[in-house]
Amino acid sequence: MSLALRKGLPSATSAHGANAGVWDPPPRDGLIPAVGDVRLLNDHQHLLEIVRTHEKNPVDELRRLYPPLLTTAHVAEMMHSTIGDVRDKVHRRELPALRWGQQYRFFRDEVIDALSRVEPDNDEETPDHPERDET
Amino acid sequence: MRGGTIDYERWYPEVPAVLDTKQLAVLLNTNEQIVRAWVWEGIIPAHRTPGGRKLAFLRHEIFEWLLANRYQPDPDHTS
Repeated sequence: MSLALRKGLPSATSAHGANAGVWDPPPRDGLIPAVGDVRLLNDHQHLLEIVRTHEKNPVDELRRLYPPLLTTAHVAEMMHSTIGDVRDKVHRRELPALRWGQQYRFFRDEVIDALSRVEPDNDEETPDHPERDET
Repeated sequence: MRGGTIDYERWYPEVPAVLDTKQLAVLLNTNEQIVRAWVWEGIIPAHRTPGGRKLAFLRHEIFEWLLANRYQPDPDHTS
């Protein structure tokens, strides 16, 4: 039983007949903001600071996600392309590779370096099938 | 890396300085049998542990060997 009920004092919960005897929440001392607290909702600067501190460097993220030596499939996944495209890049000397038997291996940091050297394509995107009639 | 020197501790801190067969197989995305076969053929630089049974691989030797086996595409290749 709450202190308010025992002493016969009116409280927020005991004032309602149906809620009589329900545990009274402890008073807030101002340190912990309530869910609807305006201060919490409007503290964008604080939220931005949290996002900035937790923002991950993409290069570090790639180093974390991929092993030191990559297969062709790894590189294709990293570059969002196909294994054939990766092999073409190797043949065109755009991507330094190591020979492992009949397969290729790639140093992770050389691939990241090659990725960072790629210039963004400023051309407008062309449709996949421009010749197709839209009928 | 570019100049032929690799800062292992900076770029590959997860690769131990001395590897066993299993660790090298994982590093090279292959299996232990292939690693042992290539050691037997003298392709991969390897050392024997003091017991004489297990193989040990030095990180810098492995990376130097890999760099020495860099793929050189055919200059006449046209894609």
